[in-house]
Amino acid sequence: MTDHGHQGPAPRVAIQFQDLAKQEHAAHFGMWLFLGSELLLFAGLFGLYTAYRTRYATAFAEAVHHNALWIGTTNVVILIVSSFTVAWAVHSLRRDRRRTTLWSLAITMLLGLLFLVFKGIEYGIHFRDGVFPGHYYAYQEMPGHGAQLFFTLYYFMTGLHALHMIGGLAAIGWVAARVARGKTTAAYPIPLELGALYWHLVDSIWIFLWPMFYLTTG
Amino acid sequence: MDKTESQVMAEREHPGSGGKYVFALIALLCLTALTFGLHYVTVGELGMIVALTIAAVKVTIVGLVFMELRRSMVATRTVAAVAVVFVVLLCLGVFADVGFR
Repeated sequence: MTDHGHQGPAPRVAIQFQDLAKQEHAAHFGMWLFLGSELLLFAGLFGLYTAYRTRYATAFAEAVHHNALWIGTTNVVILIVSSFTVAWAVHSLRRDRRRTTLWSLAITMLLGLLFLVFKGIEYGIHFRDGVFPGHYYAYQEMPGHGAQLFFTLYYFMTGLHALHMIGGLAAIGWVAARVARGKTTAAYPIPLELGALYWHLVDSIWIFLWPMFYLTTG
Repeated sequence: MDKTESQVMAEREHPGSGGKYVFALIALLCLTALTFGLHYVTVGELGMIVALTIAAVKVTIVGLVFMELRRSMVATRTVAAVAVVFVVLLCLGVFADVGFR
C-alpha cells in the first residue's frame, strides 16, 4: 500500500441535502449535539461530586491519597497523546495519506488499550484493599461515609468513562477498517472526523477526572 | 455560514499545515506537567481551583485545535458552549447550595 491512497469515488449526497457542504455540516452539527448530550450525562455525576466534595471535604482530600497518582498521571498523558494521533489521522486522510492515517489510528487504539490496562491495574489494587463501591466498601484504614462516597463516585465516573473508551475504540476500529478498505477516503473523511470528535470528548472528560480523583489532596 | 461544495473540496485539497496539532500537543503536555508540579505546592481549595482552571484551559485547547471549533459554524460552537455552560451552572448551583446552606 502506498502512502498516497486514492480520492475514491465521489461521495453521495443524500436526497434531503442540497449539496455536500450542507450534508457535512449536518453531520458535524448532529455529532456535536450528541457530544453535548454526553456531556450532560456526565454533568449529573460532576454535580454529585461537587455536592459530596463540599460536604465531606476532609474525607475526599484524604481519599485522593489512596488512588495511584502514577497511574492517573500516566493515563492523562496517554489520552492527550492519543488525541494528537487521532487528530493527525484526520489531517493525514485529508491529505490523502492513507498509510499514515492507518498508522495514526493504530497508535490511537494501542494507547486506548494501554489506558484500559492501567485502569484495570488500579481497580485491582483497590479490590485487593477492599475498596468497593457503595455498601460493599470495606477499606478498614479509611472508614466513614465520606470515603465511601468518594470511592463510589470514583467507580461510577471512571467506570462510565472506561465504557466510553471502549465505545471510542470500537468507533476508531470501525473507521480504520473503512479507511483500510478504501471506503473512507480524502473525498469524504466525515466518518473519521466524527469518530475523532468522540475520542476527543473522552480525552477531555479524563482531563477533568485526573485532578478530581488524583491531585486535589487536603 | 454555509459553504458551497466547491469550497469544501478546496479546503480538502489544501488542509494546511499540521504544525498546529504539534503545538497543541506540546502545550497540553506542558500544562499537564504544570498541574502535576503545582499540586505539591497548592493544597486545599486553592489547589482544587488551580487544577480545575488548568484543566479548563487544556480542554479549551483540545476543543479549539483538535476538535476544530475554531473553524466551525456558529451553530456548532453554540451547542458546545451551551453544554459547557450548563455543566458549570449545575456545579456552581450545587456548590452554592451545599456550601452555604
